[in-house]
Amino acid sequence: MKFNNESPIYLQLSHVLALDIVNGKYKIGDRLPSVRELSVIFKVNPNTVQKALGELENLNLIYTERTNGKFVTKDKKVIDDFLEGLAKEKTKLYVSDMKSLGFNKKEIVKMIERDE
Amino acid sequence: MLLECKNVCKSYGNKEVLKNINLSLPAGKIVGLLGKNGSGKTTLIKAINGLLSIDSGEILIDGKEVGVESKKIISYLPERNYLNVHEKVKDIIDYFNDFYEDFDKDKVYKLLNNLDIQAEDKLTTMSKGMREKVQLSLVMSRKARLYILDEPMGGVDPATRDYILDTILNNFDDGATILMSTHLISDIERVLDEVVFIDNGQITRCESAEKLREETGKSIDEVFREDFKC
Amino acid sequence: MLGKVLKYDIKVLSRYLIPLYAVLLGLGLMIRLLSFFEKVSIINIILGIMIVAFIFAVTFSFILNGIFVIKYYLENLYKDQGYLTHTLPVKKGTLLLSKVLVALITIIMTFVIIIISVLIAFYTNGLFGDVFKVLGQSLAGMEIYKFILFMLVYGLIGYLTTILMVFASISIGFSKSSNKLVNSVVWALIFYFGMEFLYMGVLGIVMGINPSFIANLDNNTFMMADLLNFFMIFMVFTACIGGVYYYISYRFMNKKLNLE
Repeated sequence: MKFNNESPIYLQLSHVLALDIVNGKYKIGDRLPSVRELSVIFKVNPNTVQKALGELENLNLIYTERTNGKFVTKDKKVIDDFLEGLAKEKTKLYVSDMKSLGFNKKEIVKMIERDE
Repeated sequence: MLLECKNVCKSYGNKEVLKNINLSLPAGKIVGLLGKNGSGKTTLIKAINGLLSIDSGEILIDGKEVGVESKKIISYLPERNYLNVHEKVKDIIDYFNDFYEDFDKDKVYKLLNNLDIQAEDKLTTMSKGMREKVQLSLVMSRKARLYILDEPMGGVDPATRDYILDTILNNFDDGATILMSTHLISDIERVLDEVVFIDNGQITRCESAEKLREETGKSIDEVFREDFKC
Repeated sequence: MLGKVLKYDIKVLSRYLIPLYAVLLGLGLMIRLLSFFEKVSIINIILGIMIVAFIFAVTFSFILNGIFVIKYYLENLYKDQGYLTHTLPVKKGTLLLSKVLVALITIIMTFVIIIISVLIAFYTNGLFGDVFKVLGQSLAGMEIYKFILFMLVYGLIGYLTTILMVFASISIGFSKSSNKLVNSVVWALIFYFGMEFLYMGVLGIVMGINPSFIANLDNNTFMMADLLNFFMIFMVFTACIGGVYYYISYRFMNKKLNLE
């Protein structure tokens, strides 16, 4: 796993973990690996993992059971909403990039259809 | 503070190797002691472990001076082989078990088992790299409050570096502090809470790793290279 | 803690000493076996060689014992192994005391093994009687047991003081930042010659108090007991110097440790 230095590692890590949740690597209601396990998997500081999990908790993607650890939310809607938000954001980014290259909406749609 | 160094000075003859070192480390942090070869890293670590006497200043571990009490809570990995190579693995384990109250015998056997090392094996039959792993396993099998690891990844191949880092992260006791010296910064910088730069016997930086990256927009490895450009 | 440290110290030194003991006992046994066939001339020659080897082995045993103890002191406390020994939660005084005790225990063990191997090689009926008779004659009226006890105690004190002298030299030499071994040797020489001067001083004082003493040595009327009193002074003096070396070793290990 490569991290860059532009944004804090905990944000990058929370992003990676959020993707793992939306694409089903960690399923609804699954228990996440412990802080220590995640720290070993990603070779990052345990406190960084803690902070990243805090971010996910703020997004309600995960919740804490006091003794058992962290679990993926059981509320499918939260995940779907998050996924949708992510998709919207990416689309916006793509569209604005394309527009700055001089394409209009029609051309963009055409391009996507052709590429698929 | 778990570790406090106040105005620590040490000279070898006319050569000052530690110049007025001040350093405070709280509990529960992973700290990188980063410096070039000969910067004073090892000297500072040896002073904290009571292996050499300092000329002036004070070193306190959990509020106590270096001595029997501090050695009970520090688990130290030196940058050399400190085991008697004629001993069998199980005798060395018994030795640690006899002297350190916080030693976990089952854990070390488990770690060594993963390396395919048997209790009856002798160190003389092992490669240098294997001996280092035995040492690391012993050191990480203590439930210490402060782990001091001097160049744990010095002179080993990248695969072994991963193994060593995993062993450290998997096994240190919850809430403990790890002080790790190294000059291979890129391998471990993601793991660090705090970085301490030491050069020419002086501490030149001591700050949060994340903050340093944020402020400079660079990796710690890059910052280090710039700070200590030859 | 002393018990634990001592246990490991004895274990390591046994590993050095057991081969030596095997040689001593082996030679003793061979001499005994071969002496059954001493009529055969070739065996008689071999027997002669073996006896010479045995005498060498016995003589060197004490020296070798001392060398082992010192080598172990150096390696366990001042070389790479010192990184482990000095980070154990054990007081420096305990580490040092254990090394001194192990010197004492091993020299007694070596002495016992030598006696046993000599007996294996040469014991005949009435040997003890003969030895005691000869001793009794030359002791001129002194009690034999007292004499033997005195010799043993004096031997032990002299041996331990010599060992402690080297311990102290190493502890000083290895507190330096460079040329540790050279410094140790220089200090050993300083201590050695210093001790010789002090002995001469003591001899001078003794003669000052009792000027007729040397004259008495040439006189065949002198008694063994007088000589014993004279050596008793030296024994106490040697023990005091041993104590000083012990303190120096401790002080430098505790306050001036400087591992490479």
